[in-house]
Amino acid sequence: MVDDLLKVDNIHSYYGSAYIIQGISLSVREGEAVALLGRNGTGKTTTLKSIMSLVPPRRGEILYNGEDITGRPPYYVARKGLSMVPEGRHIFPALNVMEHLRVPVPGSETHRSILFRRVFDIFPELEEKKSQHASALSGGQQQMLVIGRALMTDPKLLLLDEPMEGLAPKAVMRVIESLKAIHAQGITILFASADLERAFSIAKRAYILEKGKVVFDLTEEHVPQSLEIQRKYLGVRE
Amino acid sequence: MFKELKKLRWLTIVFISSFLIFLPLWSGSFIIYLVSYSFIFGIFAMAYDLFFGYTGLVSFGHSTFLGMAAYAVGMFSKTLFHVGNPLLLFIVACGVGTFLGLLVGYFCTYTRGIYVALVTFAFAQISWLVVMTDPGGLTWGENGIVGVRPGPLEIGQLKLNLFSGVGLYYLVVGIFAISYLIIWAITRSQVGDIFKGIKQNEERLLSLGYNTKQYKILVFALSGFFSAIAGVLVSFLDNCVTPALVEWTLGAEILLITILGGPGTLVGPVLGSFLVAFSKFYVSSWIGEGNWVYLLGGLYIVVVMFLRGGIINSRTFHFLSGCS
Amino acid sequence: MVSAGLIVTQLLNGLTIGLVYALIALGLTIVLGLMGVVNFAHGSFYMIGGYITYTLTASLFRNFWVGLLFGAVVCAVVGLGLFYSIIRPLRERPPLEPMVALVGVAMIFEQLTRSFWGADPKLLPIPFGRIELNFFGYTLKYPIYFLAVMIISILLLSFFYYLFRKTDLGVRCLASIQDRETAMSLGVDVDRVGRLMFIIGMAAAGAGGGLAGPIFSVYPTMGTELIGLIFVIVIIGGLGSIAGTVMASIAIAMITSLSLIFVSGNIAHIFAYVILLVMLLFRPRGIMGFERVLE
Repeated sequence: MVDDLLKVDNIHSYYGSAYIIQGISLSVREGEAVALLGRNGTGKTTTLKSIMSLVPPRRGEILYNGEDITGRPPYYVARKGLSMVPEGRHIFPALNVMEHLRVPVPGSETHRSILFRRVFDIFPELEEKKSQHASALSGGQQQMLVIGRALMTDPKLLLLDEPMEGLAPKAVMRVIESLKAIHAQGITILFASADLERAFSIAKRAYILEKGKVVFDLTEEHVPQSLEIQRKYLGVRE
Repeated sequence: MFKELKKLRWLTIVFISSFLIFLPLWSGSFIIYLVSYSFIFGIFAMAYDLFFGYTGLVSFGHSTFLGMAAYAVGMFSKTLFHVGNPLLLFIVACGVGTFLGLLVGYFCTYTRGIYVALVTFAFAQISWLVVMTDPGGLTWGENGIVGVRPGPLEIGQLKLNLFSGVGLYYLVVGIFAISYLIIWAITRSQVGDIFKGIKQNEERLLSLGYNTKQYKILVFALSGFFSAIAGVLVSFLDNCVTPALVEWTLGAEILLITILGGPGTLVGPVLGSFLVAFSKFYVSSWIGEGNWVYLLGGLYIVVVMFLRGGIINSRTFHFLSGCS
Repeated sequence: MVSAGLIVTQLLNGLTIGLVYALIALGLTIVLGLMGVVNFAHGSFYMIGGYITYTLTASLFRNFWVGLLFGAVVCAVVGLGLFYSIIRPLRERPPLEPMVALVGVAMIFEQLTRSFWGADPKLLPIPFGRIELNFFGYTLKYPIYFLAVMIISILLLSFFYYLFRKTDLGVRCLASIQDRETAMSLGVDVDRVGRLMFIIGMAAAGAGGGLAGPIFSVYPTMGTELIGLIFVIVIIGGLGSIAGTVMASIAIAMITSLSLIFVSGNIAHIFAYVILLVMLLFRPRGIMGFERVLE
């Protein structure tokens, strides 16, 4: 059914010879905000990278908008409307803010000035610091920059890997705010997180991963039992 | 099956050995020269294979070890002193080679990956420039030192005239055999396993508590030592020492010969060196020296693009090498 | 006693040569940063540019500038061929393998030159004459050609600056050098960017060869001789950094040029390598390089 914007069908992915994703299936409908939960090392990053074709799956299929994008080059996937914000920010160390926003290749006909405007509306602090070198920004500002950067491809589906990790509480609030705003604009969101509560401030649904497989399909109704789920699958909060 | 393979291996060794021992009886001096030359560069190739084939480090600067050792011989026997005793010359040259190995190795432990190749490249360039500058009239610049004459090798009652092609030939073959055995033994020992470990998974070695830096310096020193042996022998063979021996292109050539023959097999690079040496002389006299360069360059390209693992890395030759 | 005039002459020479080296080194550092390939055949393009310029100057058109342009164009075309045949197919391999193949390519190019033009150096006459420079009341006669080379190099380098900082393509190229995977996930087709940059880089190297022709003359080993110094410049300047490469080129050229007053050319080059080794020990990423070690 083309209801699903993204359909991941039983993918198996390897990092070299390490068997990381051992048969994951998930789906995301247009307009949803879904989280991938799990401890570190359970395969959240690899799942996102597989969808983005940075670590193409050896088996299985990934369908985006009905089209099979499995194994296509990452730039192709990006131009089709998927965009990824990698874990650890990954800023370009020698470029400034404006240059960061000019790098992405838009996947749609939308004029760039509109895309710039949208980013600056969501992140006014970025407009202020337009000519600043990205390496001079704080952790929180860098996170906002890379989210804004990902928006410059005019994505329909935004993937984020641990967008709140390692940030001060104020910055985390800003990130959650901005993701809500992005979601409100109709952009579908799929993000990885190790923190169930924070995840559910944005997402309505979550997949829980363990050892490279989906073990639980969580919706908002389950959240009251979250403590037990948290203890079982996500371990002690750091 | 295994017993038969072993028998076959011993038979091959015996056959080849007898062939080599009796070669001078029915070959002209040119063949003897060519075989000596091939064995000498075979030693160099083994020195390089120990380094590159086993630890996986890349060096463009091995010509520094061979060349500077050769220049040490040149200086001690001609321009600086007039030492004729080959044993003494060997000791000096191997000392130089080992020392340079330690020095370069030390520098390289502070760098990683491709920077190792560049450090060795820089050393090769520096040695070449130093040699060409002819400091104190010791290296004779562009033309190199000519008239390097080793005296006869005297061990007890045995006296071997090294100035003749045949005498030197037996020395070369003998030293080659001993070097092969020593290097082979190293690769089979625990040290060899660590070298292989450096190539495959250095982090695991580190986590097991091995000081890989020390082992890298060790492989540099060993490699330098054996390259120096080759350097001495080549100076005896050609009776001269030229800047071509310190050029980085020689370092590149031995890298290519090793890749051609199959890194990590020891025998492969030796066969590669024979192949290149013989082809250089025969093919080039056949099709012209210029065309030989095209062939060699083309060979490098073809081997990289299509023959991954070298010519020798096939099962047929496996039983000969005796190592994995 | 060393006269002020001599020092100034050497400084100007160093500046001129350094700017030419910058043109050559840029191509190498971009390719290294974008494609992860150590292009040992880079010197060949320097040589091809020089020889084409020489041929068109000496025989066909009798015009140096036409020759120079042609040399750059030929290098771009040959570069395209090399990109498709070797650089791109071998990109995924460990950096050693394309290096080896490119050494083979360099050998073949060098031999081709020897076959067609012979092994002796060919002299290119230096266009223009000398000009009188007045400064601090001191008069110096300096070849106009060198000044022309400086101006042309600065123009070309400015073009590069404009390309890299002002155009989208340039920004994408820089981003790809700094973080290839992330750039790809943002829609940048790094291979395509790499191809274009490779051609431009090779054309620049060819132009450098042509410009340097009248200064050093052209000979078959000019490529393999220079490549060592270019590597030094690339490493010292910092991988993939344009500004760093330019600074390192000028610095190294000036240092070696000045030292020529006191020592021979070979010793001057030794300084460059010693600087490289010191750099590698203490700041492997170079003057302007960023925190990324090439494995």
